[in-house]
Order: sequence, then C-alpha cells, then structure tokens
Amino acid sequence: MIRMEGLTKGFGATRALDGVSLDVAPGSFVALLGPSGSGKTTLLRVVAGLEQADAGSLWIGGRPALDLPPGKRSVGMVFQGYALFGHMTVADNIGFGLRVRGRHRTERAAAVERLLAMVHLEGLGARLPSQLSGGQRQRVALARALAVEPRILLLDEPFGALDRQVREELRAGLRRLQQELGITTLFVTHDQEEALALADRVVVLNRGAVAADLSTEELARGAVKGFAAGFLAVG
Amino acid sequence: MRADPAARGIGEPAWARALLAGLALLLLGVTLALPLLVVFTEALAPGLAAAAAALREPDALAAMRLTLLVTAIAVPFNTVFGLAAAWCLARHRFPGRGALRALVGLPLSVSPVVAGLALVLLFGRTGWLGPLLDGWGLRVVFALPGLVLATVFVTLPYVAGQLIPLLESLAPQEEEAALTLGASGWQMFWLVTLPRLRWGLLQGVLLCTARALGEFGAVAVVSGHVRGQTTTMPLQIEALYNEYNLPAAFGMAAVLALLALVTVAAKALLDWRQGRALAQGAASVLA
Repeated sequence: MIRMEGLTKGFGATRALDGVSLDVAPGSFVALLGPSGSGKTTLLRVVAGLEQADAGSLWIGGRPALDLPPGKRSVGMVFQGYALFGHMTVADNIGFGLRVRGRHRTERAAAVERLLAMVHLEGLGARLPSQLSGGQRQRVALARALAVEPRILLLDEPFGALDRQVREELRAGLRRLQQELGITTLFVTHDQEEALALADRVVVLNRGAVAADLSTEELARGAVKGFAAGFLAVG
Repeated sequence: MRADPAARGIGEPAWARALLAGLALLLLGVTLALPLLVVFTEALAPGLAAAAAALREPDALAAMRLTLLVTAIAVPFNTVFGLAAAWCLARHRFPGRGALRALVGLPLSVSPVVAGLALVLLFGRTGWLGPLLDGWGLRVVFALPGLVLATVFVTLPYVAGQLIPLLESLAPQEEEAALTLGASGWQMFWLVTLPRLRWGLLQGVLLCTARALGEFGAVAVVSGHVRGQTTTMPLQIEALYNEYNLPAAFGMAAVLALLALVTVAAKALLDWRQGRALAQGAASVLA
C-alpha cells in the first residue's frame, strides 16, 4: 500500500531522513518507533506531503505520490495536539474534508452523524473543540481524518497529551476501528509499550534510518539486536 | 478564594502605589481627557443649532465627504496588504525577509511630512514620474490619488503590524490539517487562516481607520489646500482655525474626535470580548 525507497530529507546541516526504504502492506498497522530526533515525524510528514523529500521515491496504492499535493494522496492525518479548527464546531471539523470537496450539506450531515457514532461522540456535534476533554478531541481528530475515506491513516503521537487511563481506552478503540475498517495505518510514537500494544509491526528509526524492522512476534521472542535492542531495553 | 496576584502588586508600599496611580491619572487627565472635553464644550458653546449650521456649510460637507472617501479607499487597500504581508512574512522563509519585515514598520518612524514631500517629488509636475503621468492626463499631487497615496503610506503598518506577530504565534498545524483534508490554498486561507485571524484583523482595521481619518502631515503636503476639493477634515479644521473661525473649527474637530472615539470604543469592545472568550476557553479546558 505504501512503498518508500531511499527517502532522504535534510534541514540545513542535519539529515532528518537518510535513505529510508520501507514497504507497508495493505491493512497493516505499523508503528514508527524511535527517540526524538530520529526522523519518525519527518517520515510521516513526507508521506502526508507536508514535507518535500530531497531524494527517493514514494508510492501510495501503486501510484507515485511525491509530486501529489497532500489533499490528493488519499491520506488522513491525526496531528500531535490534534490541530482541530478551534473556531468550528465538532460537526464542522469532521465535515471539513467533505465540504472542501463540494459535497452537499445533507450528505455531509449524514456522514458526520455516522462518524460521530463511530468514535462514540454522539450528540456532541454542536460543541466547540475547547469544550471537549483531551480524549474526546483525539477522537474528533480521528473522525475528521477518516471522513474523506482515505486509504492510509497517519497518526503522529496520537496519545501524547493524555493521561494513562484515557490512553489505554483510546488505544483499544483505535485498534478495533483500524481492524474494522481494514485501513493501512502508520503511527509515530516514542513509547515502546504503545507500539507493541497497537501495531503488528514495529519499525525502529535512529538518526533518520531504519535501525530495525520487526513483527510483534519477533519482538515478543526477543530477536532484537544492535541499536534497537538498546533503545527497546531502555525505552 | 485567593487574592489576585496582579492586584496585590509585587510588594511596593501603599503610598508608592497611590503616588504612581495618581501620576498616571493626572497625566491621562491633562493630555487626553481635558483636551477632548475642551473640544466638545467649545464646539457646543455657540449652541447646538449654530454648531450644526457650521457643519452644513458646503466646504465642511465636502471635507467630510473627502475624508470618508480617502479612508474608504486606503483602509481596504491596507487590509489586503496587511493580510498578504502577514502571510508572506509569518508563513514563509526567504532571503530578505527580515529587511521586508522592518520595512513594513517604516512609516511609523518616518515623519508624515517627509512622506508627503517624497510623494510630491515623485509624482509632482517636475517630479520623476510626474511628466509621464501628465502625459496620460493623470493628476496625483493636489488631487484625490495623492491624498489616498499619502494616507496609505502613513497607515500601512497598522493592519500588518497586528497580523504578523499574531500569525507567527499560531502554529501552522491547523492549516496543514486543512491541506491533508483536501483544501486548496484559497479554501485553507478563507476557512481556516482568516477566521483564526479575525479579531486581530478587525483591531488592525479599526486602528488603521482611526489613523486614516485623522492624518494631517502627509496629506497637508500633497493636498494643495483647495477648499471644497482637496481639503480633508483635519486640513479644514486647521484652515478654519487660522481664520479665527473658532466655532466652525471646534465643531469639525468635535466630529473628528467623535469618529475616533467610536473606533477606539469598538476596539475596546473587541478586546473585552476576546478576553472573555479566551477566559471561557481556558475555563472549559480546566473543567
């Protein structure tokens, strides 16, 4: 579903991505794990089209994607901190993608109701984001990203700002939703436990390169060497 | 219930606080309240009917119309400029950005008279571009275009000055979210960026309007002072005053001051509403 070949990206003198190659199978749930500065968020942003790669290739659904604008890549993204539109209601946030695609008001309203139910926020459509709890905001961001029926879901530290109990509830919800929709999902985290709890494959990044690429079974067996072993042990 | 730390101050004695507050109030009274009071009492001294009659003179009406016209052209222009400048300077990195940012604030530090003179040297009969424009039958100096240009120059920093720091303080994630959801650049701007800037924009527009209405120095140089044609309200006030026509001068000054007070009141109302909205947002986050 996603194919990356030699993706490279520099910011000034630093190399955020140093030749990343990765294949993500349709319907899989892949965690990008690494310390801060390892390039995991940059990689996500390159896939989303929010950052231009200096070199390399990217295919999404078999199509070359590097020249496509973010809105044409069929990706839904949940930002760190969620980036909800503060001046719009929850319903308008979720319906935004359909609105800019020129969908009719009634069609939009029906879709918004369906999505609110999907993330268990029925009846909160008229609220403003500032009137929601952190966990509710995260689910609004998820519903907004899924509203345009993307083929790929990208999540950047989606549980970063939440307390433990909420985090574990939302994790279970996200995992269930991902399996129901069968949507290819790539998510960035620095939390090893979270990666293992959610993903069926964990890619460890270090200094802009893939340090390890493991299925969760391999991780459970303890077949990890080198940097990844060190990082996972302390992480 | 804890005491508000701001109200407690940082520990200075009561007499010092009273002295500072008294000084500030005295200064405000002498430099702001008293002059305004004088303008309004003097304007109304000959009676309401006389004041109204002075304002109905054809020259007075022409001056008011001209001031409103110049403001109505200059403010929208500077609003669009301010938005464009804020977008460029706050959301893009390019060589010369720092210089451009400094340039936007330049009209605040250049004397308006110098600005007016520069326009005369540029667009006047013998100026650099004057002969060219003359050839097209276009008159800038001593005509409406000159008044508009002078006002635009002087009021240029107000909208941009509000919006640039505001946009720099807003994280770009909401705009990026709009892009990933399929918004075009324009849709992103109209649906996400502009609503986020709306209060700052409105405040900038009000400041710009107040300044445009009252501009004197730059406009005085390019006006030529033709009564009923190129004389704006501030110029008309000065002319009346110089002729010792004090009732008429104060009458017009009162109208101008009233316009300024209305814009300042509108801005204060906005500040208050925005403060309340922020407090509410913070309260609901904490709840």
